Amino acid sequence: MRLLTHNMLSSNIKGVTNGFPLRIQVEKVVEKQVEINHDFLRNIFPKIDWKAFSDASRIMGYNELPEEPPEPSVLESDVEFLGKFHHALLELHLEEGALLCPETGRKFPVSKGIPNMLLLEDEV
Amino acid sequence: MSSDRVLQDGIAEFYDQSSGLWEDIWGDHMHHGFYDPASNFSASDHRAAQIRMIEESLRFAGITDEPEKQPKTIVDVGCGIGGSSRYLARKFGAECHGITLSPVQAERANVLAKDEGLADKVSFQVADALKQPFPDGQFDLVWSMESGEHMPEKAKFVNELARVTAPGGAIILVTWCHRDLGPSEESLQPWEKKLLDRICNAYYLPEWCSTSDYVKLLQSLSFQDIKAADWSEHVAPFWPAVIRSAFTWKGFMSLLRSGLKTIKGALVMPLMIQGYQKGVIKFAIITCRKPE
Repeated sequence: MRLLTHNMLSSNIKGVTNGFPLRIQVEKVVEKQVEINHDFLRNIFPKIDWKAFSDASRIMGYNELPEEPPEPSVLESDVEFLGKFHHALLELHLEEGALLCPETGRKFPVSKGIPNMLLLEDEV
Repeated sequence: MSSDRVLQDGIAEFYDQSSGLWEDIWGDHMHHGFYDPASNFSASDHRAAQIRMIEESLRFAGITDEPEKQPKTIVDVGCGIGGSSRYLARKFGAECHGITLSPVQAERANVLAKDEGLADKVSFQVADALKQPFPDGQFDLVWSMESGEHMPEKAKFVNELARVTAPGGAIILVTWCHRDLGPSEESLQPWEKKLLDRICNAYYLPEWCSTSDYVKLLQSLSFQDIKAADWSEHVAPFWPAVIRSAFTWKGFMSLLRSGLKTIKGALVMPLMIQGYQKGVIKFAIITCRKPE
């Protein structure tokens, strides 16, 4: 599971008012190289919840991202920053671990990089 | 265990067991091909027909080729092994998230995405279409290609499709329905129900609804530009072709190896043809747009 995916997932348990972001429990992180695409990064940037993303990257062991979101102009010119953004967003994978509902603590397992978001009957 | 849970487990197991065989013989698109009614075709045209199904669906929904209006984020509800997800991600340069009940399918989908150089654009999760793990309004395009027939509680299913659609975004729902009921009809005829029950049993399908049931649900959610069509005549060659593939040596041996659930599914294929021929089963497309 990439952090781009993590930034789009939320807990859907009945009664939970704020299920985003899911807390990450790491067992195994894998780095998978992907070709960088600057335009893609610029397009996706406005859709990213930056705080959730930068917090998640630190939990995954990557400390290069600022806590505050950069100004959009940074993405136009700062190639070094784009590289870090790209790496954290697309190249860090939670291979084994879990995602926890921020309100209830319920664990959604992540196995072979695939989150299992199925709920039990009493959570629906 | 509730019946919904039993159904979910059945669906997951059916696809865990059958996906490999299907992919081996038919490739990574687990949906009908779209054919011109009067044309002749050869066996090799089916893959092209499956791609055409995707393109015709996009066209029906009015998804244009204009770059500014193309979807940037897509959810593939009932994604199978990700055929649609990868196609759409590649076509639009979009981010696509697929959900399936089958862990085997999700894993295979990820492997195929990596093989095709799309690992940065598509991701797959095991999740329930009736309880999608996404916040509201995430996706420019909500895509459900032949998965709606598996959903119990159609109202919940449509509600979730609607919830995750972004303002101004589109829903494309292609699914098996039963015929619309006449004005004086409360339900299908007993023989029609019996036919569908046998199909439901083999394919892990809950009760069917009609195309106009879906339209009414979307109307009640205030969606705009709601369009629906019956594409049954455009998919007619598909099931006979699938049956023929089961009778090839490769198909037959694969069936024997795959398991009882898959075999049962294969045996019921003639009923699908019967259902279409008798006008009970309709291959429907329903599309609409969320107001800005």
